Order: sequence, then C-alpha cells, then structure tokens
Amino acid sequence: MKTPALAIGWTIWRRHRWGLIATAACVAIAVAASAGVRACRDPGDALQLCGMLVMPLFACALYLASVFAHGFDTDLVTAGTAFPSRMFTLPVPTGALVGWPIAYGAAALALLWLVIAGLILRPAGLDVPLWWPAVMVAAVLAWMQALVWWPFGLAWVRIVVALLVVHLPISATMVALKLDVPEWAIAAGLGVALLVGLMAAWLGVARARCGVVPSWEWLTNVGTSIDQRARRRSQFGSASRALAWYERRRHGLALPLMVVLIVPICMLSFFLEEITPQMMVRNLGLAVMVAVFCAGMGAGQVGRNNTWVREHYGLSSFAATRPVTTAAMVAAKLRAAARTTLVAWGLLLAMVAVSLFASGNHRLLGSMIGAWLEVRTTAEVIAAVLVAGVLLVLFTWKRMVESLMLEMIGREWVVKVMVFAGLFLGLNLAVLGLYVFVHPEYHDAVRAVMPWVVAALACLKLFLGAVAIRALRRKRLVADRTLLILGATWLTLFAVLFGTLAWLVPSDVAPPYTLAPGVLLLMPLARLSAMPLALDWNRHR
Amino acid sequence: MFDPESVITVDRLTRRFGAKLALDGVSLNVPRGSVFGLVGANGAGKTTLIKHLLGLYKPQAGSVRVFARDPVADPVGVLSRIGYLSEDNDLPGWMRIDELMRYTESFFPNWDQEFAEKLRLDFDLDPATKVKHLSRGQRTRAGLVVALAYRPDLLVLDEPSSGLDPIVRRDILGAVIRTVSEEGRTVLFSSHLLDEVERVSDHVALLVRGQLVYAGPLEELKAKHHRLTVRFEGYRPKPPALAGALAWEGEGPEWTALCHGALGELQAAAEATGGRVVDRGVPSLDEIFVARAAGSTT
Repeated sequence: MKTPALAIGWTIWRRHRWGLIATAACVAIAVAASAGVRACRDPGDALQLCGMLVMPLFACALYLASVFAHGFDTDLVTAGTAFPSRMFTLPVPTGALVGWPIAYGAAALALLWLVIAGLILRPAGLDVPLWWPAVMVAAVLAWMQALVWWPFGLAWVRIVVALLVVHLPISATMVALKLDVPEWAIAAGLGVALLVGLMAAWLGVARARCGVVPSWEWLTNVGTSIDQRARRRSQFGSASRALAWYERRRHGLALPLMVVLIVPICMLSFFLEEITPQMMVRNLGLAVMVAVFCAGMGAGQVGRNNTWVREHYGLSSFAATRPVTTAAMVAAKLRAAARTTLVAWGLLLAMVAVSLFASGNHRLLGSMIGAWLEVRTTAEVIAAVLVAGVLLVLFTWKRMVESLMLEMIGREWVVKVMVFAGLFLGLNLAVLGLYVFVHPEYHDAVRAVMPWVVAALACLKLFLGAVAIRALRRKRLVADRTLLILGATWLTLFAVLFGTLAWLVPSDVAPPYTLAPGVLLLMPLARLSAMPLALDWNRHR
Repeated sequence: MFDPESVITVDRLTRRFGAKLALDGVSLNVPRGSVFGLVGANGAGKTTLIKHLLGLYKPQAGSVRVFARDPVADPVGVLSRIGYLSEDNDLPGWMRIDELMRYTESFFPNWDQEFAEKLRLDFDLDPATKVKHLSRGQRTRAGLVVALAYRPDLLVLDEPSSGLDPIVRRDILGAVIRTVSEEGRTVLFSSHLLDEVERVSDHVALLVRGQLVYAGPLEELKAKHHRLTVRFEGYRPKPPALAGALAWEGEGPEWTALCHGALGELQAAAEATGGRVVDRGVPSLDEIFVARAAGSTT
C-alpha cells in the first residue's frame, strides 16, 4: 500500500469484503439467470422476467451506497459529521479522504448499472441508455455522501435534508427527458451534479476536520426554556415508567417524523388535480401505508442507534445493569412502541383530515361513504372501518416491535444476515408476486394453493411461538401469570378480529378456514414471544 | 463453596473469547467491608471478571455469586445492591445530568436525594448539561454521582481514574472509597495504576493474562514479599538460584532479589549461595506486580 488511494480502498475492502463478495455473487447470479431465461422463454416473456430479475439488485445498489458513504461506521442522525473521525488524523489532504471513496463508489455503482443494462436488459431486448444513468447513479451517490459527511450541527437535520434533496438529480433528469433534452446534455448536467456533490462533500469534511460545526444555540436555548417545566417535573414514579421514557426518547421520534415528512407528499395531488373516487382510494391507501411501511424502519434503523452503526450492536452496560428483569425491559420497549404507533397514527389521521377539508375533497369522500352505505348496513360499515383501523394500528405496532427485535439480539452478524436476507427475500417475493399478477394463466393455480401456503405459514408461526413460550417458561423469564394474561388477551383479540371479518367478508371471497390463518399471520406471536429470549441472550453474554 | 462472609465468591471461573483465554479458572472471595483492588495489566481480564460479577457475561465454566446470588439468574437481586462505574462510562449522551439522576433514582428505592445533590455540587456538575457535552473527567464524575447516591452495598469501579487529572483523582477516589468502606460497605475497583490501589485498598487480587496469581489482604501480600540485596565476593555474570526469588536485578558482585517467603529463611538461603545480605526492604505493590507478571511469563 504505497499510496493513500490504495490504503483507503483497502480499508473499505477489508471492512466490507464479505458483503462486497456477496453483492458480486448476487449480480453474477442475476446475469446468469437472465441468460437462462433468454434461452428458454419467448422474447416478450424473457424481457418481463429479466426486468424482474433486476429489482433485487436495487438492494445491492443500496448496500454499495452505504459502504462507500461510510454509512456502516457512524450514526447518521448525529449532529456532527458522519464521516469516521478516526480518518481525520491521517496525514492526507481532505481531497484524498473525500475523493477516493466518492471515486470508488461512483465506479462501483456505474459498473453495476453497466452490468444491469449491458448484460441483462439490453440482451433481453430493452434498449436502455448506458451512459447517462451511470453518471446519474454516481451523482446521486456523491450527493448522498456529501449529506452523510456534512456536519449539520443538529441531530436529525441530515435525515430531513436528505429526504428533500437527494432525489433532485433523478427528478431533474426525469423532467429533462420529458422536455426532450438531448442525452449528451443530460449526461453533462449530471456530471455537473456529480461535481457539485464532490465539492459539497469536500467542503463538509474540511469543515468537520477542523471542528467547524454550525451553532444552533438559539434553538437549543428555546428548547432549554421549554424544558424548564420538564425539569421541575416530579420523578418517574416507577422503574417501568423510567424505562418506557428511556425507550421513547431513543426511538419515539423516528416514526412520527417520517409520517410528518412523507404523508403530505401523498396528499399533494388533492390540491393539484381533480380527484376521482379511484384516485381517492389510491391516495388514502398510500397515506395509510406510510405508517405501516415506515414502522419497519422507524424503530431502530433510523434512530440514534441505527442498525448500520457498529456501536449499535449489543446492549450498553448502562442499560444492561438497570436492576430490572429482562421481561420488564421488553415490556417497556413494547409500551413505548405502542405509544409511538398511536402518536404516528394520530398525526397521520390529522394530516389526512386537514388535507381532505382544505382541498374540499371531504365531499367526495362523504359521497363515497354514502354509496357504500347503500350496499351495506351501517353496522357493517362501522365494523369494517373499526377492524381495518385496529388491524392497521396493530400491524404498524407489530412491524415496529419486530424491527426492535434486531436491537434486542445485539449480535452484528445476526442483525446483518436478518436485514439483508429479509430484504433479498422480500424483493424476490415481490418479483414473484408481480410475475404472477401479470400472468392471469397462473391465477387459478395460485388461488388453489394459497390457502395451503397460508395455513402452513400459520402452523409454522404457531409452532415457533409455542417453542418460544416453552423456552420462556423454562428460563423463567416471564411469570406464568403474565403469560396467561397475555395469552388470554391474544386469543380475545384474535377471536374478535376473526369473528368480525367472518361476518363482513362473504365466504365465497374468503372462507373462514382461510381467514383464520390469515388473521393469525397478521397478529404478533412468534417474534414477540422470542423477544425476552433475545434480550436475555444479549444481556447475559 | 460460598463463604457467607464474602460479598463476592468466584469459583474456578473460565471465559474464552475465540482462541483467547480471558479468564483461566479464577477463584476469589471479596470480604464484606473491604476495599478490594483488582490489579492487572491491560487485557489481563479485569473488566471481563467485573462483567461476570454484574451478570453481563455468563460463566462458561465455574460459578459467580454476589450476595450469595447468581447475577445471571437474579439480575434484580444483585444489581439493585451494586453501584457500578463502567470503564467505557457509556452513560446515554442525550440525557441531561438532572434527567440521568431522575432516571437512575427510579430504579433504587433507597436513593438519597440530598446526598445525590451534595455529590453533584461537589463535583461541579450543571444539571442542565447533556452528558455528551461533558469532558471525560466530568462524565466520570456524573457516573460516580449516580453510582453512589443510593449508597449501594457494593461499589464496583472499573478503571475509575481514567480521564481524571491527578489531584481530582486522588481526592475523588480517596473520598469515595473511604466513605463507602467506613459505612461497612464493600468496594471493588480495578486499576492498573498500582500506587492508587496501594494507597486505598486493603485487599488485592493480581491478574496476569487471565490467571489469578494472588488474592488476599494487601498487608499479607507485602509481608510475604521482600527485597534483598546480596553482595558476593567476586564478579557474578548471573544471579544465583534462590528458592522464592521472583525477580533479580543487578550485575557483577551485587544483586537485588524480589523474593516471596519468610524473611529468615530467605536470608539463610541467600547466604548459603555464598553472598551476604547487605540490604533488605519491603517492596511496593508495583514491584511485586511486575515481578509476579514477569515470573508468570517465564
């Protein structure tokens, strides 16, 4: 290693070699699979399948972006720079510290695109452009790197700015394509964007390297004066309340913040275009799914101790030495997640209501409900809305709690395998689902096999839940009485949901024997039961 | 195996991290009311041993009892009686000092608010300051406030002096240890600063590469070790073989040995090698530790 360029490259390689090898393997498998598909399917079908094969590779692109932005080494929510501070003392100019990761990242992502386009999409007959998308991904990465490395001086500002800014090279390119701007001009514009990202990254790291961080003292002073009252507050009263407060402070902000940032975008079309009933359903559906979708990321991944940060893994000795049982720690996490879920849903409903009334679309919604009431009884409509509401809130909470599970396990290798395997499996299932959706000839077969798949998954879930509960009892992590109360609550909720759905859904659409395992799959059980075991495994290593 | 007079009983505790043997069959008792210094070089296994006492590590072999309880099976029973200051001092950076105190208070029914406030003022900590904005020394002081304010039966300090300047270190450590031990409580603290251990502790344990080479009263340790200077008639290229000698220093006709054993027997043995004992003294803990550590390598 004679040069800083090689040393910086080696550091990245050494730290992420297994992930990079796995990424390369995924790409190679996709290329080989696309060649196989082209050889044995007709061109139209092959093109569709190859397009779907590309989708899981977005996870690879995301991984590469995280690697070259040093996203695995630091806390993205930190007020200072997220550039690894250990590198600041290296005797190399800031340009080298910044330039080489940007260059390597740009090369890696551009190469990924060239492989996708040149070896998968083009041979399948889709004439995608080669060069400007390569420059675009490099520019987006450079902007991401600049945002990650810039010292903002206030926690969370980075996330907000990233949500507002990072899509700009893509959006501008889409607009340019719509305006028929020549491709060479688009590539040149993206080249300029890449340079802007590079300069911003250099400036940010240069400032961070000499300790220049913007002061938000005025805001801190406002916060302090607001906090005066809080400081005079009485004590927590009990250990469980203190634990719940601790969990809320750590994870409570992420989900509501994401809802506040994303839901208004879903509601934008209410103010921009004439809304039809179909558009109303689509927009409301999108807004509602924001909370459910973000809950999976909201708890741990974007919070102070996000999954990508090395220091995240394991339990701090401060937290582990609280004189409470492991079950009490888990209960505090569950309560905090419940409160966060309710706050997020409260905000979501308030924003949707304000958007509907401010845009005048509440009349359309009213007429749609009126039309619904003409074909269904009032009781059925109220029950359907209540069940949907309970299921959505429950599912949001479930997803949030399941993402907390990663934190509880506390082993870096388990967390990473779970995250990437989940992402890979999810994307592949999405591809499979899409494929089946666009091929009506498979629908009957899928409809016939689906109840069996759902039943098998429900049985598996029940089995895993039973194993976890048995282990809980054996290790005496949760008192038998608590287990009984939780079991009774679970059964009651299951019975109410199943009973209401069986009443509302016609049996020719979904017979009760498919509804029951479906409801079971939606309800938290196996991972929820395994949480005290995971935290115990983490707490007593 | 568990001594009722002991606050801590460790029996043949073994811990391995991959190929590295961090603790190798360690057995020790920490008597009630003692100030127990855990001594060892960096990587000797001090923090690993302390983490076992807190239940943060599960013994792979052997057993650990604190207040006659298993810290893994009964974390509440053990941790509610321990005040702990960790080596990393990993207090949550986002908490303010007053929040940290309020938060910690919730877990300990015998939290003494007056005492906590006195400690906070003594350590000059602003309640509105966030932990992440404190210097290393201030962070240690904050950790000490929340570890002491409920007057724990056992205070465990893992490298408490790190980050503190020498004057504050002497004052704080002396005051803390004296206070706690005077009230009949027990202190276990680890350090590789041996003068500090020698000044405040009455019992010591020496850990060398995961093995316990000595555990007992400091006075007994010092009484069993002697520094003897032996003069020979002629030039000696190397020191003589002397039973009980842990380390030799010197050249030519005069050699100084750090020995373990009864003084009379050592003197007689030294003279039997043809030399004459010209000086004798009590070695410092530092000298004993270095001799013991070096001895275990050969």
